[in-house]
Amino acid sequence: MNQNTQTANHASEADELFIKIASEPASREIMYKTLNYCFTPRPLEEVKTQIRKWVGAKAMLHSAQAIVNCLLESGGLETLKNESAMELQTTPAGKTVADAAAPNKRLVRLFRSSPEYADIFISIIRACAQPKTTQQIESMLADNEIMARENIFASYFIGELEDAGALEWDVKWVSTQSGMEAAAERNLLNHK
Amino acid sequence: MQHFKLNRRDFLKATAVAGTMASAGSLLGGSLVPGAEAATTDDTQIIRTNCRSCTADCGVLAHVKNGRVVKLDGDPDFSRSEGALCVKGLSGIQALYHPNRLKYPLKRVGLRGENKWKRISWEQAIDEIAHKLMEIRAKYGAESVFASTGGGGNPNFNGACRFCDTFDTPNWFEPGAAQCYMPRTLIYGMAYGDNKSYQGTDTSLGDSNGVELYFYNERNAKSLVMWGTAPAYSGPSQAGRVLAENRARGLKTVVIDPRFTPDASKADIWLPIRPGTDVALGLSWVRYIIANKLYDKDFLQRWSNLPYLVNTKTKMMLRGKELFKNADDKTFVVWDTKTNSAKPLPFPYDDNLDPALDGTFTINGEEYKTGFQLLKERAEPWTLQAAGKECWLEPKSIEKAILMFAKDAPSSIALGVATDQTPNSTQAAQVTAVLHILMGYFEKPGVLLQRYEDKGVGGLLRTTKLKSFLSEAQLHKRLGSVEHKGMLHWWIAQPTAILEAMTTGKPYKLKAWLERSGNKLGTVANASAWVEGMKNLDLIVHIFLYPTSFSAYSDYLLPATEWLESDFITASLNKCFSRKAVTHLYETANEAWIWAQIAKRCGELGHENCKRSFDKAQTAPESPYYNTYEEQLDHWTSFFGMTWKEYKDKTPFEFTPMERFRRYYVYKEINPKTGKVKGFNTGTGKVEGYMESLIILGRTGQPFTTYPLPPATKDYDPLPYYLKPSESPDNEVGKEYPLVMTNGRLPFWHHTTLRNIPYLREIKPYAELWVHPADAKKYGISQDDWVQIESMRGKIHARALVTEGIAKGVVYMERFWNPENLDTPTHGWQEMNVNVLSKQTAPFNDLCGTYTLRGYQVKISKAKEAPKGIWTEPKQFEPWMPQVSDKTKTVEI
Repeated sequence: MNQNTQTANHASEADELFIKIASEPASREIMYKTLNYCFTPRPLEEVKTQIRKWVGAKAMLHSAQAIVNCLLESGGLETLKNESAMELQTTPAGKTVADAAAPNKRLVRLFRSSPEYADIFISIIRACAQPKTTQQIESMLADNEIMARENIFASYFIGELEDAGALEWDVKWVSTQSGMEAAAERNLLNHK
Repeated sequence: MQHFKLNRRDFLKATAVAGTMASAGSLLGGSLVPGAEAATTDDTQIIRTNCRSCTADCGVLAHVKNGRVVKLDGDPDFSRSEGALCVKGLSGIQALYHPNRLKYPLKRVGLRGENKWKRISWEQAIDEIAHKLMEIRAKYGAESVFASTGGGGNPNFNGACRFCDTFDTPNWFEPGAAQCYMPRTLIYGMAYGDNKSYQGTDTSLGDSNGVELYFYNERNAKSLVMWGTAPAYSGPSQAGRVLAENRARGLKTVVIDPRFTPDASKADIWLPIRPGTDVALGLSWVRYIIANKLYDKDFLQRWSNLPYLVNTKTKMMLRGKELFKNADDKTFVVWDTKTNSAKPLPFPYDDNLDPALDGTFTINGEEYKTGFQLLKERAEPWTLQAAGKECWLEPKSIEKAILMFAKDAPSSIALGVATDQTPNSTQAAQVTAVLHILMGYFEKPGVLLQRYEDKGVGGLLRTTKLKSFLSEAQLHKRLGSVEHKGMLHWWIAQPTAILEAMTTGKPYKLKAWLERSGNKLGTVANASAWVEGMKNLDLIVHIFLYPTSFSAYSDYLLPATEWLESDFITASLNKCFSRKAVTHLYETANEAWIWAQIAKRCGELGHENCKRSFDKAQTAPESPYYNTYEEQLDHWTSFFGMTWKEYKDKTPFEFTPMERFRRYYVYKEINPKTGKVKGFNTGTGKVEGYMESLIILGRTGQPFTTYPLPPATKDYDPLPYYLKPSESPDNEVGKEYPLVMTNGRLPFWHHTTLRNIPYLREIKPYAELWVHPADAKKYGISQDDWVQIESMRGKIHARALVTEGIAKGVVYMERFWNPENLDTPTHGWQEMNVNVLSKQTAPFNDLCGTYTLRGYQVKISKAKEAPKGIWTEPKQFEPWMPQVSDKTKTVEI
């Protein structure tokens, strides 16, 4: 197999893996985190323990083992056998996907695709530096002209930020570090 | 249990049916099925119950030996079927014992679409689903949860709606509703009246109307127009069968259908109409009847609102109190030809007046026309020639059909689902309602539109919506409903608006789908678009009897009971019956119980509305949820002063004597409270050919809304109008896609159900594409060739049936999916599913939001081969032969 074929195969494996994970909205974020986590080989039990610790794990459909199984079967993880225990490591396709799905990159794509909503996104991220309920976010945006004109509700923006890795739900909405960094960066850009 | 000796020959002698008619499906002549003898051994019970393979509820005698169902017969005492039972009903045993039945709750363990599951308990399933719903509610709002149901054998149709109202989400839908029956119930309910009965309020034969046809020995009906309905296919045991009896006794029929169905083959006139052009045809009938004065003038003057004057600027009817002091709310203004002046016409009538039917008048400087005049002007362009050209029909044939309808009286128009499936849906119902009004075909012996005294038995005993539980703020958020206010009639959201929200996240995110029916991917328009949207959902729950394509994308599968495992209240004409569970397999549960359990758990997790929904005082006058299905049944039968056990032991019984049930000319009866005639249950007390009520509906949501709503963008039209199909052979789309696609039933299936029944698949293993010989020759297609069919949305396959039984330029396919391919990447919905091709985008019907399931453009070409993996030979269906199971435990949590 020559280099071009290998590259093409790798690209299509990564694409396939990306599509499969994208179809799992309830487990997506944890799958991305797992792929990142296993850049360095890790024992299976350690991976499962970490999965259970992440925000959102409890409400996930899949168990930690099921997450691992899904990523193994879809080619995002591979097993390494060493003397003591089975270890998991992210595959090249998994690394490509994890890299593409890095929150800062997702956020850049979000802001690029919807520049007209940038101020709304930033205001939510800033507000959720302290945990907020959905109702509190809705109240904050109650008089927003763009939302009134276009008849869009707060959950659209919340959902987009969640999908971009800027918000996560832990009884209330909380901004992630990536989200805060993106908001700060945007603020700098706006004031240049 | 009772022991019946069934002998159909004796039964027929007793009913004095004689004759030489030899049509297939008839009870006469040589096609009789020899009478079935009941088993006489002690260990066999014969239990009277009702089928639910479709919505007709035919009476069934189930032979149960040692707890196993071994035979099914029709019940001769069930008045609508009289002992007949079609193949769908007879397949009940194969459905009950199908090896692929869902046996217990399942939870997904693989990636979506991998079809990997693990068994869990009901307790775990309900708990996890409720927890997830509550979390989604907290994260995105209750409106982000939506539900759906379908007509595929579901007697608890409002179950999904009730749950949604309880959960305070405004969003539930079914692929039917605006695309099936709702346009007709809406329009007929407003034109003829809200009669709160379930037999006779509209003319849908497939929905147990057309009761007069069952009294065929009286020969009251002289003719019948079957418009977009095929009773021989949709109701072989009931409407199809009695139509054969009626035709044998001289009933003349017109069939308007692109297909040469069995009913068309027996008709006096067949009009093979171009799909989607029905309103143009209907308006030509209106024009002809008016121009040739074939209408019932006396009925129009006395009992319709068509003589009332309408302000041509405001489009509103002129009220008596606008011109005359002391006029009450039911007094309108007419132009009296005797005095040549405007006069108040109090309800019901004034014999001193002679109201003009047509004319334009000026009153106080404003222009007024009668409703009749406006109708006449609307229909004016539609000459026989114009309709012939638009509808691809011979003008002379159209004329013959009109004359039969008008002169072989009384007559009726049995309007079927075909016209519900295009954006011109409500207007098709409107134009046929107007035709009934012009002819005065109401409440006389032999006509379909009746107000029998059925006490609303059917309506009272079904799961009710609990509309009061949906808050005002949430009602305002219902997807599609503000613009399409007709959807308030069934309290339902618009499928395309749900798809848009699911896919784009606008106007708000949708995150959970609770679905209770067969195969949504076989019934929604442009199924591929829905699969894309589903990738954005955190939670998908499927409640059904066996896995379908939809299940493959779900997260939880909950096993529902088959009809042979279900108890329910049923009725036929003036009698009550009971569907009885004759066995129970695995851990299947009744749908009503499933919804109640999810609501209960949500209540325990803090959802206040869900807690209230179990409180009788809070839900009154509607039923609360109950912890067990038996308690629910007891509530329903308390209407008769009985428990469920007492009720089912007593059935069948008359809830009203037949002589009281069959009442005619109700509108002429005197109301003892007012001393005046009852009239009709409309705002004017008259049948309404000019539907000002639609304007009010569009502006306010009345009479269906529970809270004030903003108006639709544009007023709805009070008269029928023709909307040309957006895809047409003579527009841009038609250049690449020259053929018009239509659909329709076959007698083997009900919606997407029963494709997994081996005997039925043996008869009809694959989807057929009916092609006219001229079109087949043009596109190089021969009989039995595999064909590719493409639309702007996608591509599928079918096998060619070359026949003159479909109009040239039109092709026909029935809905189909392939359960044998469930475990493949296609999940069985992509091979031969006509709804890969159909159109979910605008234009939509203005009132109801109907999209386009029929009357869109396709192209065809010969395929190299059949789709991979499909079964076509009888031997291949052997794995689906019944695997009989003993009764298993009933699970309670």
